[in-house]
Amino acid sequence: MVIITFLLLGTILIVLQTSLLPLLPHWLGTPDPLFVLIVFAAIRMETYQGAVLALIFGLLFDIFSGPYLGLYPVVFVILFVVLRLLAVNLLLTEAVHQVPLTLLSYLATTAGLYLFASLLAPDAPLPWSWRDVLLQLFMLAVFTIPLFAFYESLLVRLVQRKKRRSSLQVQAGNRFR
Amino acid sequence: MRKKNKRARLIKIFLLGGVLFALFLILVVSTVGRQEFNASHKISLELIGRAQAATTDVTDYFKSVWTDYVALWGVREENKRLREELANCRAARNEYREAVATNIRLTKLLALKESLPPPVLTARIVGKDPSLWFKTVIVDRGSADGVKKGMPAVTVEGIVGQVLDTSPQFSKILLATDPNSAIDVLIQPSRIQGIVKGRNDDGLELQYVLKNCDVRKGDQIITSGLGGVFPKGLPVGTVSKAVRDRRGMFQKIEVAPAVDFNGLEHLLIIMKENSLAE
Repeated sequence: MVIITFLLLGTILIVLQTSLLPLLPHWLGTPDPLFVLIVFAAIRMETYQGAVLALIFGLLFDIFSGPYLGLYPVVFVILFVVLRLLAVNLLLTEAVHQVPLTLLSYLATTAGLYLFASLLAPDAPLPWSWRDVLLQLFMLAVFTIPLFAFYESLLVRLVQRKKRRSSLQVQAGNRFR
Repeated sequence: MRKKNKRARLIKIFLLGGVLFALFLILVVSTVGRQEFNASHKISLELIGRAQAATTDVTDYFKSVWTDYVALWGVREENKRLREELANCRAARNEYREAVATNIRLTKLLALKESLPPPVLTARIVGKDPSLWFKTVIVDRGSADGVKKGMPAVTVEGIVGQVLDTSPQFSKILLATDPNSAIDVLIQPSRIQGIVKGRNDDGLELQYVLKNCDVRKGDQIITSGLGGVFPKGLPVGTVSKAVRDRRGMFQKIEVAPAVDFNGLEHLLIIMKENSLAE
């Protein structure tokens, strides 16, 4: 249920990011709520849930972005593994870690995409634009905390619902038979 | 008993995980190897494309309401001017229609199907690439409409890009401003050949033009017809800057695109494989 709900949410975010948010003026940058969701999935969800979501979002993003198929799943899964290791070993799950972790992840992902795309087509070098990257980082810094709060509340609600349902199932049988 | 159950559960989880991992590997290898949309990509694009189209419908509606409101200012004078223009256009259209009919008839007689211009298909942009590094768009025309990989996309102003992949109802277009796009072009006044590449910032760069060639600011760039994707003579842009560096053999030429890529809403796909004579 958690995976399906977040998958639906991610799909809606992809639709918004590809059809509605590009209408914002270019100088304002474009918010990237899906990226925040992937970071959230890596540090707050169960390992298998986060891995499945990172992979599926990567596969979906491949359809709507860039000429190379397979680029986003690889980058998103690597990001997931690194973040998961950091979250488990260094306990970077507190609210104070959210913004720096998201910004660093974004910078690493952007650099990773840049690197992979440059390796795949060495005759078509991508122009690195610090202005655009910094603008995106600024937008992420603004939106990370509210988005994390929203995803967290959704996850808590789903987990509580699951617990309630499983407790009801346990009580339903005749335990004295 | 409990231990056995636990072990069985673990084996089940490992088996499920193994199957999923194998499926993932097959999917990634097949996708990366072929670099074409597979069935799952096509289904996803069909589903999400519809959602994109619906979102674009809603935003277009609100945009048109606002535009209509703004357009009310001075609409009477514009209406009068447009009516006159329409009358002139109708007269011209009748003449052209007759000329095209004659052209088709004569071309058929001469069995020169290839020399006729191919028909075009109007497509609406429903999705834009959200990434920093790539420039692609999704349009609401797909393989069911006859769109195929490699077909050129244009507007009346000039070239836009080419079809990268298709699903039955939607297609992905690689814009000319993407660094992976390369178009064979001519500088119109001097007929010098070069390759136009995207710069990712909605600008273009003309490459492989020797230093001794005469290139001036304002020169028109058109497609050369070589490379087999774009028909000859379509406008690409205008030279905005030409620099001769001390190093290297070639000039550094910046090109302002003929098309405004930021305001792009509709485009035309040239159905290269279908002739008007058919």
